[in-house]
Amino acid sequence: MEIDIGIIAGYAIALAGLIIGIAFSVYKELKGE
Amino acid sequence: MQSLDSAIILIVIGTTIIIGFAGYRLSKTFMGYIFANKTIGPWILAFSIMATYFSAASFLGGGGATYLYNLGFGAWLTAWHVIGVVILWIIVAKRLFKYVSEYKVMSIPEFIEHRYRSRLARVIAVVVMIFLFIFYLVSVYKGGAIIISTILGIDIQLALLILAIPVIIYIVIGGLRAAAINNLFLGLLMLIAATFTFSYIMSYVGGPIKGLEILTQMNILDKYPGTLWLKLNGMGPPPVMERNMVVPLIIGITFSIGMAQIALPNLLIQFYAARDSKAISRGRVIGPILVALYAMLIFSLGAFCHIILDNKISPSEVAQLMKDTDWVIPKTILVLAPIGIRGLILAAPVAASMSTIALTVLTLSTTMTRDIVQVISKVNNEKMLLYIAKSSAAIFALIPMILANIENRLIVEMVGAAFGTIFACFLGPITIGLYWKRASKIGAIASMVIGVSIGISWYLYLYRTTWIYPTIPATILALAAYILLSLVRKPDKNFNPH
Repeated sequence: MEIDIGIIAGYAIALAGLIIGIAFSVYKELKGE
Repeated sequence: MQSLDSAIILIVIGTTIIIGFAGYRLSKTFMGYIFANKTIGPWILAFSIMATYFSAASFLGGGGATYLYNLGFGAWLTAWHVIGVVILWIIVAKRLFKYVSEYKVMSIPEFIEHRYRSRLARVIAVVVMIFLFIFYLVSVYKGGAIIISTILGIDIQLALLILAIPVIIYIVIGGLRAAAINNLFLGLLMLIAATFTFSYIMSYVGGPIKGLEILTQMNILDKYPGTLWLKLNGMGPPPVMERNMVVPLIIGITFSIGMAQIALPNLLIQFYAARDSKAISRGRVIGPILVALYAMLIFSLGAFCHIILDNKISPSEVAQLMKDTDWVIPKTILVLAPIGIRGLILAAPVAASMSTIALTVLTLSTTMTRDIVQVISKVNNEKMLLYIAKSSAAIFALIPMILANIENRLIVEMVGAAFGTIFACFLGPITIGLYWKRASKIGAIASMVIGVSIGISWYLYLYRTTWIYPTIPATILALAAYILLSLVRKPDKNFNPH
């Protein structure tokens, strides 16, 4: 079974976007901004 | 459907009316009615924005889409939603909240007038918003009403009333506070239903990897190998496959639906009602998690439904489902879930419709009161303003409900077209305008006029021949006009971005 890289890229971007978004928000929250 | 399933759906609808009374105390003043006296905390705000954004199309169209399209549709729909919600909360929310709090503007058109010092820009924003949101609400009504009429076995007209009347009651009684608390309840229900749906489908197919292995060994309708679902340029609508336009179409549709949230007035208006900037900071963590969770649970399920449904229905029914993918998830749930649970799951698209209708109607009501009545007649009497706001909310809820009897297209495409066109019109004037000092009123006006003209005309005349999704040319041309026309003018010295 071979999944197209274009499909994997979509899921990877979704996951990375969520992690970066939450990390940034938590960082800002801890800094009190 | 069993009577227990029907009862659960009616209980959900009835509960929203009871919750509506939660906003009664605050809705005795105009500010209390449209902004809940700025008392909305982070959890309610995050859930409300998520539930407003996701209409029935997210569950029906979004869930069933990969029954026709390859899994790239689900992957990129999820990706754009996550990117959109992160930008919405991190880049747009706090700056918009600070701007409207400092300058005490109360609606998106008023923001546009204040930002660009242009009454004409405000008038155009009002016209564009009312036109596009009514069109959008028609599709939202249809999504919820089709489910109600099927489950309860009633006429679509009666189903539309069952959907509209509770929403009208609770927004008239409780205004934004009631709608936002209801969205917390309805949003929770949507997440629970999404979790159940994902769990039932994945349990049946043996998990995502096993499911994909089974799918690759299938030959759908004896002409589409299952491997086509694992290629981004693989499965899609047959005419689009023939023209080798599957990838551009998938990226175009998913971008339009996922990114629209960063410029949708019915979402942005809710930041006005935040308790304080701390509510935005906390919501910034909660909001993206809610949207991402829902997207990851729902948007890729359709492909796996071939394993569940195709040996239980005739080839002609499979072909029909591939043409109208909105029915894939409901049919799968009816096969897999026990009585009671399936009522709970199928209440989700109804809940999604109600939450979207409520906040969109309130947005239009605020626009009617603040941007039309108050601008024309300078009415400042509190009771009169409240009366106008409540009655216009009821009218704006009824107009698309009546139009829903006439309109007839695939839900996901209609929502996509309206969403995308709103995005094309307002991305420059609202989102970029919050940051870009040099943006001018001519650019803002051109962006809205070009966005709506290209978005609608492309959808009507060029979409089915080019297979380029209308939002893409509309956004490119609207943004180009916004930027170029702003650059040729001198910067506004009065603008003071935060």
